Amino acid sequence: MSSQVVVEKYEQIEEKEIEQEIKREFIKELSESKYFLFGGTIFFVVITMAILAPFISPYDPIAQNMRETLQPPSAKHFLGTDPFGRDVLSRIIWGSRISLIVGIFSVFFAIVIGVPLGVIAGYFRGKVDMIISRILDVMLSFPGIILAIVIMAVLGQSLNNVILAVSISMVPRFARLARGQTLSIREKEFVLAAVSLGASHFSIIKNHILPNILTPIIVQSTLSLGSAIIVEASLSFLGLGVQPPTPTWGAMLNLGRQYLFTAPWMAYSAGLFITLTVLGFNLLGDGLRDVLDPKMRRT
Amino acid sequence: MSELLRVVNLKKYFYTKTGFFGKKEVIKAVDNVSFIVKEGETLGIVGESGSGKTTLGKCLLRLVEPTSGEIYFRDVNILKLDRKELKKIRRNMQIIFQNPYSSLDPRMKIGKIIEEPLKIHGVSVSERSKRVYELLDLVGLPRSFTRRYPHMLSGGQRQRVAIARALALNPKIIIADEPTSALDVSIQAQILNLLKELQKIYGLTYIYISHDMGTIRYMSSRIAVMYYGKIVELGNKKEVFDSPFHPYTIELLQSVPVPNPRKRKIKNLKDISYEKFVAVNNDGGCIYYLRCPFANSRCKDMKVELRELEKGHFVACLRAKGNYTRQIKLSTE
Amino acid sequence: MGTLLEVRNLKTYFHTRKGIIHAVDDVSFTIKEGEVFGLVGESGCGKSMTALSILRLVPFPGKIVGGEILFRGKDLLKMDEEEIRKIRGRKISMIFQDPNTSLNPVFKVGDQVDEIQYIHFPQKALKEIKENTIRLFKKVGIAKARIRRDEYPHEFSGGMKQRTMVSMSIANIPDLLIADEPTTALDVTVQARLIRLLLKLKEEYNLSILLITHNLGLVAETCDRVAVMYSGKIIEESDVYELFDNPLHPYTKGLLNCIPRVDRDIDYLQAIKGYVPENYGGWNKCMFFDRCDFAFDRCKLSVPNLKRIRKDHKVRCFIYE
Ligand SMILES: Nc1ncnc2c1ncn2[C@@H]1O[C@H](COP(=O)(O)OP(=O)(O)OP(=O)(O)O)[C@@H](O)[C@H]1O
Ligand SMILES: Nc1ncnc2c1ncn2[C@@H]1O[C@H](COP(=O)(O)OP(=O)(O)OP(=O)(O)O)[C@@H](O)[C@H]1O
Ligand SMILES: [Mg+2]
Ligand SMILES: [Mg+2]
Repeated sequence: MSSQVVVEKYEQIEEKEIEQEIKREFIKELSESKYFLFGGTIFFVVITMAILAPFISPYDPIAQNMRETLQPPSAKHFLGTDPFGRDVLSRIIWGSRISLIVGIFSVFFAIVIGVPLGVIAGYFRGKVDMIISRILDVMLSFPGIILAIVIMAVLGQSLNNVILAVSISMVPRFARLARGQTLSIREKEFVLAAVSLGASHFSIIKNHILPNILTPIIVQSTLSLGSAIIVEASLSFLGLGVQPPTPTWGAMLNLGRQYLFTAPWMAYSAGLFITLTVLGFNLLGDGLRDVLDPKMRRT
Repeated sequence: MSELLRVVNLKKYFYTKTGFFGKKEVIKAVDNVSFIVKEGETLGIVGESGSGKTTLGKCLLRLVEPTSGEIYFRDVNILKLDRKELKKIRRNMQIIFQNPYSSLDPRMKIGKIIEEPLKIHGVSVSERSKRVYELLDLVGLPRSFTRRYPHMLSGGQRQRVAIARALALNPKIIIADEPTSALDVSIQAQILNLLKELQKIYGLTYIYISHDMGTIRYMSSRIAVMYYGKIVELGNKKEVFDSPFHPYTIELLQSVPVPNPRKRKIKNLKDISYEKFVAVNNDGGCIYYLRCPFANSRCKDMKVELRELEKGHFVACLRAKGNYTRQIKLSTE
Repeated sequence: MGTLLEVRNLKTYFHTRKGIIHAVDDVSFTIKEGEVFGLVGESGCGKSMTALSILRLVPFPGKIVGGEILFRGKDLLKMDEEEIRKIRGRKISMIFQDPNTSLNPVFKVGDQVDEIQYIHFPQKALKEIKENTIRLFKKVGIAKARIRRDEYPHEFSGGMKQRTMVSMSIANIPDLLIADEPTTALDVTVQARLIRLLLKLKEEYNLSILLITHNLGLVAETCDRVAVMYSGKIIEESDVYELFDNPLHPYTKGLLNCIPRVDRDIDYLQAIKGYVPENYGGWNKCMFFDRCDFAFDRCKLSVPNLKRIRKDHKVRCFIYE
């Protein structure tokens, strides 16, 4: 080519270096986000607690000990005991398993169902969109918890049904998010460019739409983990959750409620853990959004 | 030169509602537009914001479905094709968009972006990477850029990537929709020169869309002036710029500031009231009627159509007759 | 003509993660009374930051770190908040590039023009202010002013909004009008009308205008004197005729050569190679070095000074040292 098209000196900059720099910057930003750090710490603690439950819990969470009922916190029972003489700390630790299992699986299923629905609605628009949107509207018109209660009442109590109920109650929010994002992305010129190159709908969705809506979905799923845990706890609190004697935070809260004045440690510790965990997940989500969003804007 | 593209009575109407209870409104973004494009030439389309340039460009590729009309690419009516046939013909027609910041997928590396068209059209893997390097060389970017993301590139570099992608399938015709309007002048010149050079090498045909009279003059061999969805003047560059017929073309040309302080003119142009300036004539006559300094009563409701006033020089104006509108000499050198 | 504004060694820096950007890097110029002074340059060269520094409106993380800005002999940088507020919108007013974001969408346009007068003259009767707004609207060419003053910004076109901005900026009859790319978002025909309006108002009020633009055509049409900026520094400053007749800096020459002309055919544009650099940490060489066809060794070793070559013509280039 002629002298006009000059190959600049960009090759001098090591490409590897640039990539590393971007990664470093990203990590630095994450580590400077207080939200992310705080939320991440809680997240990490809860996960560890759930995984290591058999090793760190001091007692069997369902073993009843009628000689030590309603003990206040002491060196022996760190968070006291319940009316059946079960160690509250051990139940909290094991309870985190249920919370996390329900949270993670139901968010997972909500994404698996909701995101494709939303993407299809947003991408094809027209009739498809109308049908899907109406269904979502109907689902959204019930508060998530009511929907979950109805489902549980119909299906009966079991861990699987809890997960099912919670995920169904969270499908609309993922579908709507995905739909909105898809609507805006599909108007972008890079999508038009792909169309003009002859790309198929499938490949446009796979290569252009999905990668570009990923970030908000990740953020949303962290936030949703928190609400899934609340829904699960509420179900258990209402006696519609996993069957007793399986330890869950919601059930513990419910039991503790009856002894709120005589043995407040039960309700307080369950309540505290629910609050902290949900707060942690929300902060994590906020932190992620703060760090990821400016990135999105810049690109 | 043989004819490559023929557009006949193309229309694209948008129907919108204004306000909550508002009445339905028709926006005639492209209104009965006809022209041909010859092989190897550059047809410049110039017009102000909202005149329908982008919509026209998108219609040509069926990125929006026209309301009616015909578009022939070498005797094939594009608007009659099904998906499969369309895919085949799209190899021949590519588009470069105005905004280099939204025309590249931010989640894809440059290598992937340039490779995409090759992949879609079934080029083998080994061929593909060879071709990607070839294209990068061609548009003057270092090969190492394949591993970068778009946000690591400047506007000019991104536009080079967009050009590389458009060239990947060896198209016959490229529609460039204001490819430099987001760029600095010094970068703009690089991109314009690159486009010209590529045209020479590959015998490309361009439809060059812009609101900037300067770049249109530099790039085009023929020019169509658009006003509210219609072509009001069409002709060879020399004639449209140096002896325009249509009063709107004249107004456009006079409004462009020229980088020569000894030839100041904008200060002395005649002003019309804002009401007249934005008024659109809906009485079936010339749309420019209310703004036009030459208009007479016939212009109000008599239908105007593009007619050939001199050989190859078309104008949609009842008053344009020989030298009538040329009485105003352009205050250029 | 007396001196209205004198900017001396202005430095405005941005502290970012990657380093300190010297957005305005030791910039000096003067604007005389009744003069149109053009500040030109490509994007990112520091034009807007220079303008915002004058009104002390530099956005975070930017900071004015040095220099003086003398307005009628008084240093704006030494004033307290109260004093500078009395200058803004009264003695010095500003028009921004994007007419869509510079008006508040929830207030009527007329009320916004009223407000700017009320802020500076609270003792004036409201009726008088409202009358004046209507006069202003008529002056800037907004017809049916009495009706249109009660419309909201979204009911106005881009050109109309910009006219509203102009009416706000001249409402208190300022001495200096800073126009930061006032026509970049407008069509050429609308631009021509706005420029005519500005020039008319300038005559009428004997305004000084600081016109910021990247469009050399606009400079030629409107300015008396021009400074060309590159990467935070002024690299050439001159009378407008002198600049276009006899540009000295290779960058200025390059810019003039790469404008596609409407008035004549050009076979080949002389593009400037390369890209505009970001001014991290200040100049340590001539920042145009990489893109310059005339560069020699000295250019990458030290920084040239802005040197007076002729009366009213300064340039920052080693070719002339
Ligand atoms: N999807 C759409 N729905 C409704 N109206 C539209 C749509 N796309 C474009 N329009 C309208 O059609 C007209 C022409 O728009 P178009 O974008 O083609 O203009 P343009 O000449 O490219 O302008 P610009 O110089 O601003 O890019 C405008 O009035 C615009 O508002
Ligand atoms: N918020 C910010 N954060 C960091 N740096 C900034 C910020 N705003 C401006 N800058 C720096 O200041 C420099 C000058 O910016 P400025 O807005 O004055 O440019 P300009 O000449 O007005 O360009 P344009 O033509 O794009 O308006 C930029 O190159 C940029 O590096
Ligand atoms: Mg357009
Ligand atoms: Mg600016």
